[in-house]
Amino acid sequence: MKISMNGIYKNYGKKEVLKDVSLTMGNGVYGLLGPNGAGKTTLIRILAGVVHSTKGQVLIDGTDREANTEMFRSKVGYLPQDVNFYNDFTGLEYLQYVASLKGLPDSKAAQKIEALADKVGLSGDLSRRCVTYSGGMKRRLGIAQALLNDPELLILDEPTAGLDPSERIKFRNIVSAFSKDKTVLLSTHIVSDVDNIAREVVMIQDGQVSDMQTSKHFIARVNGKVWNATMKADDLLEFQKHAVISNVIPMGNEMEVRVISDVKPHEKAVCVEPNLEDVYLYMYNYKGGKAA
Amino acid sequence: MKLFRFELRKLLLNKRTLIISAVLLALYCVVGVGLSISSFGGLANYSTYNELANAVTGPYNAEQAELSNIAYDAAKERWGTDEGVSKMSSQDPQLKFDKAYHDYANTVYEYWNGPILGQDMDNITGIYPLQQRLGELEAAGSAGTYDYQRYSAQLETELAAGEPEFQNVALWESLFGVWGGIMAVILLFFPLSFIIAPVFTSENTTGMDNIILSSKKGQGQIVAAKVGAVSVTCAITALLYFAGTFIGTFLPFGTLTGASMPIRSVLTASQISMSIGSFAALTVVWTIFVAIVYGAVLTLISSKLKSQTATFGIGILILLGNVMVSALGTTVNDALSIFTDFGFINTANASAIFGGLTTFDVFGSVVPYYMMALIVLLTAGAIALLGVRISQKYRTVA
Repeated sequence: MKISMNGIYKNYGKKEVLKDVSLTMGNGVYGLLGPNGAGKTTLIRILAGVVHSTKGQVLIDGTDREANTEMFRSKVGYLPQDVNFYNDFTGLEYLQYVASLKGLPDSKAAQKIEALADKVGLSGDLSRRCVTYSGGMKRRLGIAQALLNDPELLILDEPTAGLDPSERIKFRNIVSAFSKDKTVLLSTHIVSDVDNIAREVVMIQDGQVSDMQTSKHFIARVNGKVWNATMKADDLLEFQKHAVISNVIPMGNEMEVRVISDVKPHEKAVCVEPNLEDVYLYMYNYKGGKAA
Repeated sequence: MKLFRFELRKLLLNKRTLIISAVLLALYCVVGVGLSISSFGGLANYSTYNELANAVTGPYNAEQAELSNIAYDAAKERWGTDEGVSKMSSQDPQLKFDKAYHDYANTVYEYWNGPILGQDMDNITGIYPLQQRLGELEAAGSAGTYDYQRYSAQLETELAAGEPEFQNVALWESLFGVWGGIMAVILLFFPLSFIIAPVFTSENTTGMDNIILSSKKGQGQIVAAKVGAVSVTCAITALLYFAGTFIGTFLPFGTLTGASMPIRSVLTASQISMSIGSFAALTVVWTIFVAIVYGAVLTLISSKLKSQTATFGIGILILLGNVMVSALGTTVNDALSIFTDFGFINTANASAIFGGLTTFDVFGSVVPYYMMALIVLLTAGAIALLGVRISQKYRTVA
């Protein structure tokens, strides 16, 4: 499946939330990275078809989505950022309801629910009411509903929010396994969510997106701009006022500080290998040679 | 079908609505018991009234009428007004019977001579005034007019029905008092508004709109499922209302006396010939129909708004539209007569729709109120359904 978003604009009143956004995705996991309020959720919602763009087109395998919206929706799985499940429904009823919405026959729905519940680790909890689920369980239930119709396009909006580290890893594994011959768009502000599994990443800020690139490509952009420096804790307090710091590790009486900077930020600083998190910080927190 | 079952589960078969329904059923029973018991002041009084009424059930009894008129006049002199007599008669079965027979005697008089308090020249009633008016119209060469047609039909119906007979139907009168108008709106339609309002707005509140609208059946079949669930909810809530008030009215007395009597014993102007029991069944069916149409209208509002409170509020405004328009004076009232004639307070009152003399002039033809109400409500319902369908097609989460 090839999905293209061409020249997407979205205005809310006079506020321009998305400006001329164009993306193309094939199979694999695509990461949509950006800070809160950058326009990620709006872009995701337009792709999912739950918000109309002010201008622009979404093409599925070269055909305008509007030509057959029902067929498009039958190929989509969507996990929104915030969903509160129906208080009276059990996990099983909830999945059965979504299966009905997706038009799955009963027998197929039962098989899928059983398999997905096992996959997301909810097999023993499906008879419990959703309202009693923990945040992580609700998220896993959300992922299960998104996968019910074997979607060709899986859209995940901040899927790991509220998950603990082990659940986050489990989630990444599920998405990775699923994405072999499918398209997954994963929107997040948590860099590690996409660092390991995304085939390509697109950065979004103030409603505009960067080119779609591999993580390596983005990382190459900040080569020579990531530094490690060792300094005393008191010096760090003053230093961090003017620097973008991506990590601090206490080393006895001193601190090892990872810094993003165009120039050598400290006399003891040494240049180190960057990662995607550094790119994120460089793009969103480092403006005009100083911390934004 | 499965989607419909889930929508029904969300709207009706959930803890919140089931508790509300149980409370409503109890309330309806209490209202029925309260009105019937208070109307007689207790079981012993009803028993006495029963004996008095059963003794003269049947054709007009001039002797009894004279006795009852004397008793009524004396009571009125003592208590000041007709309302005062009514109030006091609830404690006095003899007075209640005398008042009932006095009212019946007036009905017989009005059957022949028209209203005691003066004739409304636009809506003439009474055998003699009708015959006179028809004669005048014939003399004026207006035999083909709308007025001539409706007065002819009215006269024919009145003559066929014959002079009213006295029947022991006090409990049914009490029941029909609850089964229509403002009582039905407050007891049935207000709670219905509360139960139905979340049908679409809750999807917005929970964020489920995202999943519904992005799913295969989330813009088409979901509408049928939700409207179906709303309709069943309306029907079940209405049935609870009728069952509760019916049980409450009759259970304390353990009798359905009068059920087989003609409906004209309760609704003296009724142009429909059927028994009280049949009319009660008709009232149930009609009110369920009106509730379903109202449910469709409220579903449309729910699909357009994101707030359950706002949906509920607008629903209440629609229900009370008649009252508000009426309060704006005759000119406005006449200009907006479609809202006053076919607003939910009126249409939810089967006694007014089927039990009165109101007719409409449609291109010179006489169309009875119930027929016009049926057409208007079906049209309103169809527009609401179409509106929900379109609304959901273009609905977004933002």
